[in-house]
Amino acid sequence: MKKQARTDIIASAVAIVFGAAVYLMSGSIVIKRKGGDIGSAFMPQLVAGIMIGLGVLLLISTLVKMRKQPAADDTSEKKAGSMEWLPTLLSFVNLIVYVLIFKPVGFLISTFIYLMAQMLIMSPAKKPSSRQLALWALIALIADLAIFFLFTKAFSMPLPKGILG
Amino acid sequence: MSGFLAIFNPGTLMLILIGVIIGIVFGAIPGLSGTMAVALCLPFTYSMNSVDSISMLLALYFGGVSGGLIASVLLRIPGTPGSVATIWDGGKMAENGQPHRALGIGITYSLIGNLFGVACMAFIAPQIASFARQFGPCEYAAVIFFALTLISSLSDGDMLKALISGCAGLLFAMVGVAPMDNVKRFTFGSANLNSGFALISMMIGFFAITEVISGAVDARKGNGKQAELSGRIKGLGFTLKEFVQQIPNTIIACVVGLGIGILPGIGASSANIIAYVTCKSASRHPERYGTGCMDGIIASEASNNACCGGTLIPLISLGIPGDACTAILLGGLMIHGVVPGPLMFQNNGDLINAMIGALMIASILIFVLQMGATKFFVKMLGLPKNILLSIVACLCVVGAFTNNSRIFDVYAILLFGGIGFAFRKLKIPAAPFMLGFVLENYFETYFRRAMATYAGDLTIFFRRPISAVFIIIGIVSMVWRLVSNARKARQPAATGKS
Repeated sequence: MKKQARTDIIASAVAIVFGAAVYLMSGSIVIKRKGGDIGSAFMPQLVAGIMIGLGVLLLISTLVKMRKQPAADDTSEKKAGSMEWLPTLLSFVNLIVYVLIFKPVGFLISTFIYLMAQMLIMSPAKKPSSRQLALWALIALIADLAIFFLFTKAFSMPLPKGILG
Repeated sequence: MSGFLAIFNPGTLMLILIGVIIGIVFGAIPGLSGTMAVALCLPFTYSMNSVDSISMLLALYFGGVSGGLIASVLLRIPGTPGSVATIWDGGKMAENGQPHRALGIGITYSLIGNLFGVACMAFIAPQIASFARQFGPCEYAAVIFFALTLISSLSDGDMLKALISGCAGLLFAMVGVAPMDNVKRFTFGSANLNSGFALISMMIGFFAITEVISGAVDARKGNGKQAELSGRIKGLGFTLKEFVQQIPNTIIACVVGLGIGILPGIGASSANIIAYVTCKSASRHPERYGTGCMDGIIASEASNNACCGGTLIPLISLGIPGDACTAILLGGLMIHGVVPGPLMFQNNGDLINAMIGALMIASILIFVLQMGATKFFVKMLGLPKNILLSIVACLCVVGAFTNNSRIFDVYAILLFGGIGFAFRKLKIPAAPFMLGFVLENYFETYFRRAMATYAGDLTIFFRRPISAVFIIIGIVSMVWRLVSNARKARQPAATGKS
């Protein structure tokens, strides 16, 4: 219950803050009304207002629920979940790096690096053998070249060449 | 009849087959779509005769929409925006160890949806088109308003979170140049944000990137999907009894899909979600939706394919393209001197018959090819998850980039991937976000157009019968859902007290 309530409170806080930010930013939208038109600021303000209201409702209902049902201790859940963040975090960081180098370095090199790194991050083996690494490198290379030629040659869709260009 | 028979020559049939295969490949790769396939292949059709040309383009279009289900079922990543809702039950069924059954159902009901759409196009296109002509901005805004009220049905028990998710989707779709007056909103001076976020980037980020990031933990533990492929099926994946039971659900999905398709501009990306929610609302067992039930797959797959036939109806009857893909098809027809519109039935009756024949053949070929390749598709799941997901993530990045050849769209997938992951952690449903994002621009455009036309008079929505019906149904169903949800929320508390 405690964990659920915590996520609900975070969700409601995010909704209120996000809604308020959008509502405030909507104030700077230029209004060019013609005839009965409502203008371009109306819809964002309306939806942001509804979002703030929903966030407040969620917060109130969560607090009421917390009062009715006393919190159970969930420290064990916390311990079990703490280590699971590492591959998730590394995967996201790897993806950010891939996206950032995608254009300047080029598709072929950035994709090979990304694929190798991602396969390592997701690897079930803690220390992959050199044979496994060689196999992944081969797969990464084949996939890299296959995607590149499929898109650029078969589909005539250009991909960034980067430093190889 | 001679037009119908014109497609039965080896050359035309081969072009339909090639079109179908390319379409399926484009549909199956997240980020690519049937529209892209049609756009890329259009120049190759210039030198063909009109029957060959339009047959191939239609095969690409139908193949692209049908191919989307493969990635949705097997990877829980939508191949196209039209197959997002397939994930919720198709993906779940595959996860529950029945990927063959999920694919079998999806492929069969794609065929049914396709044939339903084609049959309507063949027999009642002029009548449907004349009804659609009664739709002005008020009616469009009312239909989309009704679709938006369905957001409350997309909650997994927590309606407030579903509504928050829907609002967030609406707000993210408002980034860029506003409809009607072209005023910039939330662009922060960035030229990239002027055109807003691409639907493909949102979809890939929200579903694919979230899936890859979340899948990292499972992959490390070694519990990939290959361990769950025990369930083999015979036939199409369902029994005759199940087929009969699903008839009402199928009819609803097909009619909703067709209806959305007929309305220009909205398209399969909305049709599948709206049909899913409508079928869920009409079902006696709405609680089964999202758990891997057959009903959900049918709702999504029958509707998105029926929608394709629907989009062709205003194209051939009125000369109005329903979406980007039919706009390219319109160009393809005009290159061959064919002008779609009310006179097309008189002047180019043979070509319309050829189109109907080509669509029927393409639908059957899609069914045969996909059914034949089911074993191969499922075998892909046997690949180690660290290899499969890495390559899928790479394809997603490439798909987002090639959509507009814009690196900004690739950055956007990171943003939506982060939001999608946060939604998952905060247990906020993603479906309402998707629905809000897809429908916002249409709603605002038509609503503002109606307001401008009728001098800001809101009562016009109730004075026009079609819009009044949709608005009243939307409000009543929303209130009914809010009340029943509040009752459900009270019940456990009351039970607990007693």
